[in-house]
Amino acid sequence: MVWQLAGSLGVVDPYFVGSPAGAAREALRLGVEGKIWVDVLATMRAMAIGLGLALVLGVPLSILLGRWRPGWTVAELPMVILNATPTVALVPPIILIVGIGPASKIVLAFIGAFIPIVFTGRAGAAGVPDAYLRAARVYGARRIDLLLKVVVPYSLLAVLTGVRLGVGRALTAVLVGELYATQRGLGLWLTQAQVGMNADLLLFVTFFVASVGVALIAGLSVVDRSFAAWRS
Amino acid sequence: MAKLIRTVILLRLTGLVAPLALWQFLSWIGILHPVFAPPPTKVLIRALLLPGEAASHFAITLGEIAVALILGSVGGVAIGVVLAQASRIDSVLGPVIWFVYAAPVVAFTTFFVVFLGVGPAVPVSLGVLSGIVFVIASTRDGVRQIGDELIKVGRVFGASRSELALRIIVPAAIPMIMAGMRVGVGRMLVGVIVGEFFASGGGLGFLIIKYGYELDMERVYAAVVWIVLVSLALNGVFGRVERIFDAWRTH
Repeated sequence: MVWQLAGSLGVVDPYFVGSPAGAAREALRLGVEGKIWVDVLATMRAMAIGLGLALVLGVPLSILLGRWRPGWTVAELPMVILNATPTVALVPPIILIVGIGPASKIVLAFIGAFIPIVFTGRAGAAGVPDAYLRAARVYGARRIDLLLKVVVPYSLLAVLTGVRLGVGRALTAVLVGELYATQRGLGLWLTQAQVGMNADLLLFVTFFVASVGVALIAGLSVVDRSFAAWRS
Repeated sequence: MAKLIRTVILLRLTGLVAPLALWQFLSWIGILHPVFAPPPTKVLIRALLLPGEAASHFAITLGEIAVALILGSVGGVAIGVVLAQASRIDSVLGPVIWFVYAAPVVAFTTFFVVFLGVGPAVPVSLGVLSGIVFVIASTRDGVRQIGDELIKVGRVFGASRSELALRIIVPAAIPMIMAGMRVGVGRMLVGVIVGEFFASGGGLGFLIIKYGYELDMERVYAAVVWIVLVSLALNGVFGRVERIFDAWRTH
């Protein structure tokens, strides 16, 4: 409201900063055309594949590191360093190596999600109470049963927390990758709006991209909560 | 016991050195491309030389992080205190803050570039925007946790509104504020680096892009190494500060 008023009264120049009404107009136009959804899909698909790979590789690794102490002693330091690495710092080198296609985005999403999944998953697997394990053994569970029926279910909730942390990082890295160089995806819209000096479009696209991120995180929280409810 | 400690240290060193040794070996026998994945020894040498070669870029990045940190923490604490005290403002601004909390802040990059032009203002604003919500949220919750008694006692001793805020409310909420800053500072670093990618003309993020265009991957990785070191240092410092204040709170 304040923004719109400032533009209408001439306090700020709407040519540069856009106006909410103009952004709404652009939203309507794009909504009718519907072209943006292809790019939403491209961004989401890269994230989903990267996340899937991170789960496939990260969950077994995190359980191994959680239950096998020397393994974690070896892996802890490199993992801490990787965790401190801002994923976005890796965006330009990875694009230079893999190219600007979807593969680079998948790699970025994978790195963003993999590290928190391993960290939280390991903590979950290491935190399985001994009492559970002993109780299961008393009932004659074999090693494999212990793993599949006690350790894995116990660790999964922690893994989900890791997924939620990782998705934010993955989305940020994918967007930076798309801003930097891409043929498809939400980041491309931001670049186009900037190049076209269409402030209304830029305003709308910025908030649209941010909203997609918010929706994604909110959706994951719902999954997280329903899983927690189901487990207890 | 001493033997056990030695084994642990040995295992840790293995974890650090083994991947690098493998990388070195693979690039030696020619499996890894020497341009795209240069051997760690060469990257290490470049990393050691980089502060001398590009001292001004280090100064720019560290300066931008410092400014973002100051603006983000002062602004975040001020907004957090106001939100905790004025529930009407909180109900208006709360949703906005949650939006920024969950939104990928890099989406605002192009917006800032158009708005602020090319220069250090873009990385600083992205840094502030990325981190400030954590400070706001934890300050607000920290202030809300303060018991009414403290504030009432302050009033009895005739403290004015601003005195109350500065002398009682903020000090009592400091452990929570520090906790928010520890999370926020990592995000601020990310914001600053992304800002430098797209609109700065200086800084470690700018160097990564510049060397990338020149296909000078040794220096690209050297700059990444330094960003990681800055990140580790910030993590370490803020983790320590948080623990100190946490211990202080329980007294």
